[in-house]
Amino acid sequence: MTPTPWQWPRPMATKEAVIWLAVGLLIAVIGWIKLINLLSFTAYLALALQVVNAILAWRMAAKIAAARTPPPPLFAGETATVVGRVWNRSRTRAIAVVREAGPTAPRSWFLPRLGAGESAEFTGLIDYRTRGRHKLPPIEAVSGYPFGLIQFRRPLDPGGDVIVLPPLGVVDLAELRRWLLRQTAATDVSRRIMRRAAPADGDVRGIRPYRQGDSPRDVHWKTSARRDQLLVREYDRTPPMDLFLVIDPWVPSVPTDKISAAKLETALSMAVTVAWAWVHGELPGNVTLLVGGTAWAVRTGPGTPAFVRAGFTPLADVTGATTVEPVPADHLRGAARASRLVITTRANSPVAAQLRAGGVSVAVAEAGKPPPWFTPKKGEPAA
Amino acid sequence: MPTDFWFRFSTYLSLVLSCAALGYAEWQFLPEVAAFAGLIVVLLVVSFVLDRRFELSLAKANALGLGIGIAAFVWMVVSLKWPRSTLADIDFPTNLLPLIGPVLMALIPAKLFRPKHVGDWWAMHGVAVAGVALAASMTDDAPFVAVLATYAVCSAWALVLFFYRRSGGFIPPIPNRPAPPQAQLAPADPDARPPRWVFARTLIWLAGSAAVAVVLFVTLPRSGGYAWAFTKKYYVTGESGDATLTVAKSGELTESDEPAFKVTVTDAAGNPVGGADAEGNFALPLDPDQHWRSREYVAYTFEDAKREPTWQQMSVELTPPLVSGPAATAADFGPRGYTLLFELATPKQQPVAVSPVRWVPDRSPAQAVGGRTASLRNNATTLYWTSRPERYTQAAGPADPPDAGTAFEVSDPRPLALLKRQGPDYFREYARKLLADLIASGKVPPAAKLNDLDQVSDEWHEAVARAFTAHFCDSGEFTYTTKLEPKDRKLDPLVDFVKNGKAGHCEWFAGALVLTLRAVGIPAQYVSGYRGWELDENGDVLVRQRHAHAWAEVLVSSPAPDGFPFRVPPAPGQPPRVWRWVTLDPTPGAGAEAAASKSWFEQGADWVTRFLLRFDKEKQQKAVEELKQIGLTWWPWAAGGLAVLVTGWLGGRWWAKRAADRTTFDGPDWYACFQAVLAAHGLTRGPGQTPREFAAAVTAAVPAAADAVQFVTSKLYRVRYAGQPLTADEVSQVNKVIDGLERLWANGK
Repeated sequence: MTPTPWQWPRPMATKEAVIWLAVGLLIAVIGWIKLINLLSFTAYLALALQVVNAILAWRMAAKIAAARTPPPPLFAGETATVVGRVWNRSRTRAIAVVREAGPTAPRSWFLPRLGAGESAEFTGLIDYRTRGRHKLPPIEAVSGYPFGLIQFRRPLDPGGDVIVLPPLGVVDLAELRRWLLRQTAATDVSRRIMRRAAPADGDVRGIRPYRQGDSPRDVHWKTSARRDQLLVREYDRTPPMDLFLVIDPWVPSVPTDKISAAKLETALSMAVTVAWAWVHGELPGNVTLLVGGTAWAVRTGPGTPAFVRAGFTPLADVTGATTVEPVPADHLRGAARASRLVITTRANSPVAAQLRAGGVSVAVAEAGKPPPWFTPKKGEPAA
Repeated sequence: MPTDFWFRFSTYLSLVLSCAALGYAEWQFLPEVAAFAGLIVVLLVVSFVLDRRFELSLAKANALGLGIGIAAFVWMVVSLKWPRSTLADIDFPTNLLPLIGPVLMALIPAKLFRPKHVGDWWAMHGVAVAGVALAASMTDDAPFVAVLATYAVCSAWALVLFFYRRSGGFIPPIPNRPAPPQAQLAPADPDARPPRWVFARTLIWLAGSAAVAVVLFVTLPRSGGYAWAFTKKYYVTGESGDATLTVAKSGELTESDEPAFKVTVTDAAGNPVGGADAEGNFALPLDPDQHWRSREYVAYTFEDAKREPTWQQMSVELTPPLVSGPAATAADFGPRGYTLLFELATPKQQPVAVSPVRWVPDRSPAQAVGGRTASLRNNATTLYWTSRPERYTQAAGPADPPDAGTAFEVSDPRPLALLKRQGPDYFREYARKLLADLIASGKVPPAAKLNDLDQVSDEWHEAVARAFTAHFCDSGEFTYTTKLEPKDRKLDPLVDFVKNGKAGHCEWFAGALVLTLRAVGIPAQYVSGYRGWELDENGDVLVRQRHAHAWAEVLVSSPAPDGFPFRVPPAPGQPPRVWRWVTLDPTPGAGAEAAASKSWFEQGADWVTRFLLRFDKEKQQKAVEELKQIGLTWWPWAAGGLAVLVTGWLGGRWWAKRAADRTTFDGPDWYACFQAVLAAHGLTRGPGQTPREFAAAVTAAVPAAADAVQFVTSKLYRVRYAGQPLTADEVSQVNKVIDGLERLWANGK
């Protein structure tokens, strides 16, 4: 959050200033021609007030510095807060307005009094409806102090990019997991994949007698045999579940309708929603995102909400690809221990076929036929 | 943040003052407008009290405004169709100005009784400014200046508070226009500024603006010509040059320093005369109270329902033409004679002449530069010009007594009746009583009593006239004043002056004397012109408009000296008599009032009148010259003072910067390292940001770093404020935390 270099304040031709100036000049001309001393003096006083206004407004605008911290990536439709800080760089108090210089509905924050060297925080809510990289409107210091007739403005912060991810829909996580199990089971290798791998030693806290309902897989056979009593392992925690998410953002080279675009948006929204639900579920493992195209973008990180926001930024920039290259083999590292899902915009995705051909069992979700566990965000166009 | 109360109070007060200014300015023309202004003020008070509790809808407020507007329009039409005397005296379209005032005032309540947005408040300020400007074009006396100054203070104050309220988003924006939502930043108002703080600042800014305005007012060039003359309730001194002279005046007479004419005096040999001797006495052959005549007025019209009492010019043919033909040569008054070269200040101005006019039969008393001559005909005291000259000479010479003109014959006494035409009846009663009192007091011989014709005999005319003049001038019964305040408006103004008021200026004294003299059969006339003079920078005689004056002339007769060159032989059996005009000035010294002690308010009013309201081109030139002189005299001191100020200012800045550098605390090395780590990731401590504020900002931006940042910051505060240095272990611990902070970014937060 660093303020931009100082720039020279520039005057703004406000309607009030123009009218005031015109009236002052008109009265001055009448007073001058007709030699009405009082009228002339009144006009000169009105014009002098403008001069005083201009000097003070210039000073106030020159004193202010401000900067904002762009928020972390957010989802389309999500309301976020932009935090900024404004400083008075002078040795006297400042009175000014910090204003967004956007063309529509600019917001402003009034500083009725900011002491010498003091700073204050200002916040503003932002809410973008579409994914992508949006630019924060630049902010400027505006001051018409003290009469509000003449205003000076000075750019403060040009504004940074706000990364907006696809909108979040709703994913029934339990249904998703069951669906993944079913989908991958069909490929004959899913049980092995989805079954929990042998637990690490560190995860086992101890053993205890078997209680009804315990999984047979948790029976510690050796000890049970030695003690002649059915004993089961007791775990500190269950092992995390990784997610391996592959996006096939194919779009036809000559789109004929809006459906292909809507499919792409649905696919991206589904991807980010799955990841978001996954990291908020029980024991999320690492999350890997592969976004197809002429080159594959790969992001791997811990299954945390922060990673989903930071790591899924490629989804903000996806425009669709007419050609999706095969997934390079080195990108599939770690996929064996994860739940694998291919989200595609087309039926019979060649990406899924390539993965299956390579021995990697994947579940495939088509944007055109959203699976039952996914509900798009309200208001989003259906694919 | 100033409160809503003070914002509304200041705005309403400025509106009230604007209405008061309009009402005050229009009182003289349309008294009902002043009453209307009072009504608007009452509405303003009601609106202020009921604001937001009672508001008309937009439609109803517009209907109210429309109703008031229609009523005002009807009233305007009626006023124009049947104008009152004051409006009738004003030319079209100037006479529309007083009618605009009520329309402006009517706009205010129409706006006030409805929900108001930013545009409405601006509009009301605009209406108030327009009203004040309109009022300033109609009047400009000192009380009005006081109202105007108060308005300026209130208006500026209201503008400042309006700025605060508007910027804070407390006033609804103009509908259908994008207006940003305003939010006040923290601290919301840690030490709320009382309104008097804003008011005091406003006064300072207004004083600064007024100083700039004064500089502009004094230095900007002024247009030529005469100052705007709306029908005003005061009268500026000066010779009107009109054929009629209105007597029914009231209000204050103010002095104008505009030059009227310049006179250069040369002796009989053509050498300039002037300068002062060692004792400071001027060698000019002019009386310090020299009278310069412009016009004579003979007929006094009164008791006429259609016209106000006026003096009017009239031709009185007393004697055969004394000078005829354009080729007449200039009069010669011998070795003690002198010539005056008159240069009038403005073209088409009524020519003036030394009074009383002295002449030589068949010689021209005055000649225009370029050849034309003035003629002296019939009444033996008026110069006639075929066209008004701008530069002309008048031959003059000494006389005995100095206030008497040249003797002449009256061939036909019948026109003398015109000079004896009676005024209002009261003057007959007054003159008789006065004459009786003067005889009783021994100031007039008993023989001067009224004869069978109820007139003073011819031989006593001069004695009685001088006694009457002394009565008006020196008795103490009458006082000189520039404030004309009729006591009884139903009476003739001169009767009211003599009977009730007994205070007035030269026009009243001269008129009353003329009518009093005529009441006892002494022929007299009213003369307007100038009295006194001053020397300009070239040593020439300069007469200004403030020297304008009025006096009386009485026509007295005396036995003709032996050998008087009668042009029409006197009737046989009658002792030959000659006539001459005698100048009589009944006005007490104008300095009497000026010498009286004045209150500070009156002195201030005089000052404002002199330097603001009557500031003219000549005063401007003088002021600029004086400023130049001051600059030439004092520029080394001024330059030195400026250099000291600039040096002091620069030194102050340097010292403040040094002090600031000294107090800037960057903390120990580990804190600098901490700042560097954060700066590498775009988190920089802003100017004026305390370490705690910085820590809060970093925590908000990177929650994962919260513990580390708080830890380092708390250690810094311990070192900085508690004076407890860290041990080696603690420094090591802090460095480890900072290393951890770096790893945080390396691991993707």
